[in-house]
Amino acid sequence: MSHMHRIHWFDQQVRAGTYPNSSHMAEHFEISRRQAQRDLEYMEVSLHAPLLYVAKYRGYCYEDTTYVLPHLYMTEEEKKVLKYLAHRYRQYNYENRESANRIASLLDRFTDPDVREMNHRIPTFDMNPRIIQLIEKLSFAIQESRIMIIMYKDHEREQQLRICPLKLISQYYGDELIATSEHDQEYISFRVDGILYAHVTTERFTREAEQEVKPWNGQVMTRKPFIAKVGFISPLEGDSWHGYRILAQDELVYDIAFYDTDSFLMHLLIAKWNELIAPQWLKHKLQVKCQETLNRLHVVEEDHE
Amino acid sequence: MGAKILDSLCLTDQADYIDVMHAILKHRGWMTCSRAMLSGMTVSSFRFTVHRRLTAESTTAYNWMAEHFLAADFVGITASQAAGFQFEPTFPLYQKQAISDIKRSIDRGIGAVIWKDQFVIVVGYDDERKLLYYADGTSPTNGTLPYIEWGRNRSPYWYYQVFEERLAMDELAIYRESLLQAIYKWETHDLMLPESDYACGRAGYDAMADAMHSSEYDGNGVCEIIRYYASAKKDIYEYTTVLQKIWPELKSAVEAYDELAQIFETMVEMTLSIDATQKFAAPQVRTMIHLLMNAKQKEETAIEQIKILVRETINNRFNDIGLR
Amino acid sequence: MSVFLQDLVMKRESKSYTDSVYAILTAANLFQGPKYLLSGLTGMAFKFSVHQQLLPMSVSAYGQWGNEHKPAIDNLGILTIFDAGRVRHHTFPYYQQEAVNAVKSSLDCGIGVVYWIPEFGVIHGYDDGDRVFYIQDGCSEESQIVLYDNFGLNFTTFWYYQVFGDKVDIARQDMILESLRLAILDWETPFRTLPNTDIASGKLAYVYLCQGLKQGSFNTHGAVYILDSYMTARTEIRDYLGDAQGIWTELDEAYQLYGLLAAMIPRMNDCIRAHRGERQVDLSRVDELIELLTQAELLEDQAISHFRHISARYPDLKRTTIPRWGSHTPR
Repeated sequence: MSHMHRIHWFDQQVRAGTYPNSSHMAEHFEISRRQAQRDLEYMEVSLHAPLLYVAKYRGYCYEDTTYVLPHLYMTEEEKKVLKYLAHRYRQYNYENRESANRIASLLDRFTDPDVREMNHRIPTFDMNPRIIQLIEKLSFAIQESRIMIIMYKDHEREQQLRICPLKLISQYYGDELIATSEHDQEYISFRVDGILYAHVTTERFTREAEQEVKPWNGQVMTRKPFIAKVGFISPLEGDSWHGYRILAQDELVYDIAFYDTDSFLMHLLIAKWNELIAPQWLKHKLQVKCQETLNRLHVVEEDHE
Repeated sequence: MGAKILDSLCLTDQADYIDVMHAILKHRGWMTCSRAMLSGMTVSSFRFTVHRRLTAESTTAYNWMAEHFLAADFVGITASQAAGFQFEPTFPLYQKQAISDIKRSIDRGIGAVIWKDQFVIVVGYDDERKLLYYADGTSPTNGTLPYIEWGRNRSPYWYYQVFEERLAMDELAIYRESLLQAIYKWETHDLMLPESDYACGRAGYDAMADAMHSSEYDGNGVCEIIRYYASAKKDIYEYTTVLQKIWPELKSAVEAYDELAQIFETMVEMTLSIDATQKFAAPQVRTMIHLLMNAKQKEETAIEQIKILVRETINNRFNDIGLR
Repeated sequence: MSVFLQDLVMKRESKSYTDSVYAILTAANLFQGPKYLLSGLTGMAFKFSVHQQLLPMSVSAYGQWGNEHKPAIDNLGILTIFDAGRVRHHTFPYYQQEAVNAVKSSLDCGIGVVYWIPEFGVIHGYDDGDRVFYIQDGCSEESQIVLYDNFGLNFTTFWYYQVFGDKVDIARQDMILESLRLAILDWETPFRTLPNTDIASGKLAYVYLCQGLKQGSFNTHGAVYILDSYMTARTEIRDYLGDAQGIWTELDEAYQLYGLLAAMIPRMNDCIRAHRGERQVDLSRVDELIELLTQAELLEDQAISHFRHISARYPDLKRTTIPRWGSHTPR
């Protein structure tokens, strides 16, 4: 969707009566004429814009002046709002969490979700433009690992700080930024609505790898997988064994993660492996399954006899 | 066979639950805040429940199991508690369990809360003498309670609570949740109490006014209720003053709570100058009702201001504002 | 370290909580007798709850479990400790760890543990090496396996477990009387999961059930589950009261009424038919089913009146004293 801002510009130019054309667009955005032409084709074909070329002015106007770009198209401002909403819905952890999280996925794709189909009560969030703008800046700084200067107010005082922003967390009551100070690695949590001013510097900081940034409260409890210790004759390649994630390796013994026992048992019956070391309960289940199958085979053999 | 007494764990005055909780948590080093702050964070100060005949037991007529668990949970303290009637056949089993749990808590260095016709702190035990030691604020020395007597009170209840761990919590989350719960307390009747006999939150003021108007009240009870809740309203004011530093939008609410606390002070002064064994004279009743209605209006104003601050979360809790 | 209680066998026949408790207490020699006796004495047989849309969760939505199960076990004279809550609350990880320890302690003492899977099931073993609990759900022969780390996590938002301790003897007549009082309370309390009013209990549950069936677009699996549970419970009540004959005349009369009710069960069952391997309410016989349920409600209402007459003869301290625990909205 990166051409949307060009399409927006072109639409504005048409409405302003300047009769823009693909050359104007190419020049303005420093892109090729062919790219600009493709944008215009997109407007006409996909967005059904009634573009009419007026030779006299060597540019375009709308044949139907009542035409409005469809809802799929949105301004930068609207995009920011939806991004913010997606962020809040994604991290929502309350009743009907699944519905809220699904909305996040839909918003992420910028499609028009038919929210009416969801029977559950949907949370709504206040749209504070200042907060949305801040989140935008913070997200950028996190992504680019940029040091930030912030003016932060809590109940004790206002202070200016240099911080390394790491993660944005949405609690049910608002947004939080997890960061470290420039010189030590201890995590600090800031309320986004307590950040009076934020400036993204050009300086970068180094992120500690593999650090799990835990929120203050209610880390969402996620189900942990079972871990099977399986021995093989030769090393496995990649980080998964036929789709089952490999968590650790000690020579030819691998820790394999799985959630669904029945599926994993089926997999053990058909895949190649050398030794099932743990867990004991899984070994037992596999033994029982194999025994049942063997018993059925003996029965069949007896029938034949 | 063991014995242990916790040093320096005591109460300075006759205590309510929050005093007891505060003393224990402070002694353990888990809390350094004031009692008023704890009272606000745990939502205790926002509770307002009265028996319709304004009996003294109004101030302890609430769901101890639910509210005391939540009081701890709201501030990141994990706890166990149990309660029951002493006349139940299973009481001896629970008595034994209670003493075992309380002793384990003392061994961990943490006092325990028990109900002994008021909330008191168990500060020690002695297996050989089969005694619990407790502090209730009425005497500088600890009282003794034989194991066999534990839970046998004038009132029919037994209750205890032991605190276990303290978990790190975001202070602002605590404050914010307390405001949501304050709204819940104002608007919601305690399901445990029959509405025909008790009134909660906003309805409490009307119940008090009705009782005074119809002369169907206990004089001593009125004095006790006003004294108890005057202290609670002062706690709310002190608490929200701190919160205002974080959320300046609370200014109007804080002003309302200030006026509310002053109205209750006026009512306390009135009760000091009358004979509680007699009914109040008609002019005093009129004044009292007028003050109560004023107080109700102030508290209503404060709650409306709080609702504006937390409107997004109220909205997203749909019709279940108390449910986190 | 690992522990496996061999003698503990859970079977789904009644409400899942009843099935779980029966398996645990009989294996631990804390209860002797048939399951209907346990179901009656605990008051579980009398619990009847229905969601407006006849959702399957109705059957276990008879109230806040702590408030419902404690009096149930109290009436058996057994000490019980339970813990529960919502997984999303910040203190859950701590309580989860405590629960894991408490469950292991109970198993070390040879007593199984009630656990919300969902539905209710029984933890009957643990293994420290694999860090797992073994759980019977009463439906499958094989135990479910739950990691210590996943204790309490399930697709509902709440967790629950319950352990049992020592026992005192209570006079049989007192237990029966208390069970009748629990039945009256359930019959007369329309909503036990406030502030939600989409689930009705007791007498009102009949109304929700009939209205749900009538309006047609109900949950098909839920409707059958609710009806099956209802029919089982009414049979349990009849058998339970049958064993309690000769104490009070009114109870004998109530037994007769439940006998009449139980006699209607085959006709109710006929209104459920097999369709592509699944049982479903026969939509062409809904009116007939509603008529039977309406008659059943009248019979049950009369029986509860008899219970009231019995109860009124004796002081009822438990219900005439305001407690300091019990009903509250979830927070």
